[in-house]
Amino acid sequence: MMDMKRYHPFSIIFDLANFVKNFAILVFFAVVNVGSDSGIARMGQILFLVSLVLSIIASVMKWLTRKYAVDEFAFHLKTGIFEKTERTVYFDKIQNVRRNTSFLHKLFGMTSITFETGTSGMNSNVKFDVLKRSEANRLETLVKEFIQPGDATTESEDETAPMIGDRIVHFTPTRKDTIKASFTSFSFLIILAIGVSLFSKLDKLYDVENYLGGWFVSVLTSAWIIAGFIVGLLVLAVTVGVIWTFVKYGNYEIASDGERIYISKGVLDETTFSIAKKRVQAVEITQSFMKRIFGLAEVKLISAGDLGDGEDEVSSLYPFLPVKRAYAMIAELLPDYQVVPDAERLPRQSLMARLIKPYWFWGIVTILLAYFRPEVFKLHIGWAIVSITFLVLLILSRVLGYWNTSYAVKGRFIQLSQGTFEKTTFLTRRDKIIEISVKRTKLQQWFGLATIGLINRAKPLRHETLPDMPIKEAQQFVKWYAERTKNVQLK
Amino acid sequence: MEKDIQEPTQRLADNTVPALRWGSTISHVIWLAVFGGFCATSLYFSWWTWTHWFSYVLVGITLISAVWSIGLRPVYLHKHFRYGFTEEFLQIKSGAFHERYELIPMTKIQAVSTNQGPILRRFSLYYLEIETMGSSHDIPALPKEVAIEVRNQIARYAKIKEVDE
Repeated sequence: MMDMKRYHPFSIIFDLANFVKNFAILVFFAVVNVGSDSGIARMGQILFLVSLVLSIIASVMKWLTRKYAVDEFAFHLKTGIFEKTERTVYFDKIQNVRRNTSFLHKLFGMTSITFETGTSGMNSNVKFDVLKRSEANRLETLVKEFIQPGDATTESEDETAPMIGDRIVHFTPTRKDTIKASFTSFSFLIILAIGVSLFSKLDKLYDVENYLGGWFVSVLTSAWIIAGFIVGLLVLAVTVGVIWTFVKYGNYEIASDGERIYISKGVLDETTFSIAKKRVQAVEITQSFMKRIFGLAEVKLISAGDLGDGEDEVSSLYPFLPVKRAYAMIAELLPDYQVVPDAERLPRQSLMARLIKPYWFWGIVTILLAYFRPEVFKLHIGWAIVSITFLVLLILSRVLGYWNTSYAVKGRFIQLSQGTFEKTTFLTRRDKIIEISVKRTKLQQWFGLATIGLINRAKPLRHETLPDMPIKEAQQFVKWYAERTKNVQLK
Repeated sequence: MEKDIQEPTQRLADNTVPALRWGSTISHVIWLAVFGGFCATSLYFSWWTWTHWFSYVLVGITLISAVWSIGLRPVYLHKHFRYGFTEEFLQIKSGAFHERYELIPMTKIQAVSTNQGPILRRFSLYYLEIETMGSSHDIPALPKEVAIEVRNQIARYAKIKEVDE
């Protein structure tokens, strides 16, 4: 039997910290009302103490029973107080690695690391909540150095020889990037959110509204003071926005070596994401309306493993990259991927088909409007105006959708771009697509069009479709996919 | 283009149509009994007007659905459904109004199973369920020998896995 290690004892402290964080209000009351002997306060204190003791016992028990070991192929994990579970996770199933160092971790010189596998279900990852940095490095190196025999030849068409160990930094944001990012993301509006939440919280405790109201009226007597106030507020808003952006995206770094890509971000809460290049399932380039105006784009790497959610998600290369730089970076990181800037547009008849397609939703809305005839703008025919405006908007969005759609099938790659205001480009390799479909409605059959669909591994699965492609091209697409066997290596 | 892939040609069992018809007839009779019962109680105990209407609508929908899935769907399904497989790919094609074609690499198939309900058993038919990483695909009705043969064949081809799963 392999000798199993306990997790780091600090995990008990971190569990406790989490407990305190989750029951902050209870803690607050227990501490504030220590001397008080009102019934509710006593109840609260008792409740708090009992749950504190219970959670300490639970985390100590957890620490005593959870063990792990690593060899050169796999993680071996043991858990369970009453019901014992043993789990073995092989390194070749690991899709990506995430490391998160929160402020608390930093205080103790600790970190947390998560190895994501592509399997579905509860136990899809191997997570170490608290461990020493050296231990995290050791584990990550073990996973990294595990290379399947023959794996390197999967990318047989790569001419670039892998240069393991040569870590190249591709991007760190400059001050200019940060400022640009803070404006594109409207981060100066953050102050509003902070203000509102602060105000509502304070208002519950004290009567801020009345107090402020009186003060406000007295301030608003002079135009100069108003102007000064507004300028001050604006400066504050922008500063807060920039600081917020800096804290969030300031320490961004995109790096790679021969085998893997590393993305790290965050100033207080550091997160690092790393994925083997050959595990990248697809690349997604998203441009919101604002980003399109500023010529920026966000590039995301799609992995078959979990990417974390919301704030923790780090599969994105810097979200505010200039488009050209973004394309260049994709080529640098994934040498065989290439974005085709002038992809093919859909033919005219696709636009026709899209415009003719029934407007079901509009129909239902119009029937309802015609039945109830609500007065809009105090006009009798108001409902008709609403209905017509709605139809025009729908038609416009279809035209825009058509305008933004393009595709390219080139070599082993397929690239699909779509969107109305936001534009998303999806780029993937033939051998990473797990199945395809071609669908045609009667209308599409009349127009000689088809909808192609492809499914990629990701969490959750990615279903991409491109409607109204000419049927010839769709058949070509099927043929192209059928040739994937050339690129894949069989076990 | 060394070899173009062939359109799938294999068809469903000849007695698919009666089998499917029986299946939908039974399920529709049950639904009709339930909704009819609801309608009758609603009228008999003179509940509200809206419950009457509601029950009429339910019965009406069931009848329309019966026309479609007993009268038309089995015929269309049998007429337009095609499947086929090679060592490398499974292909399924169906539908006329909504034409649908799927191409699934054998290496991505995770599980294949033959299933049989009481009605399919009467007709000694099986339906095949093929699960991949991404979705699941049905072949609705195959004669027993064919079903088992196809299942085993697919299982054999699907055993091969690609590097980098």
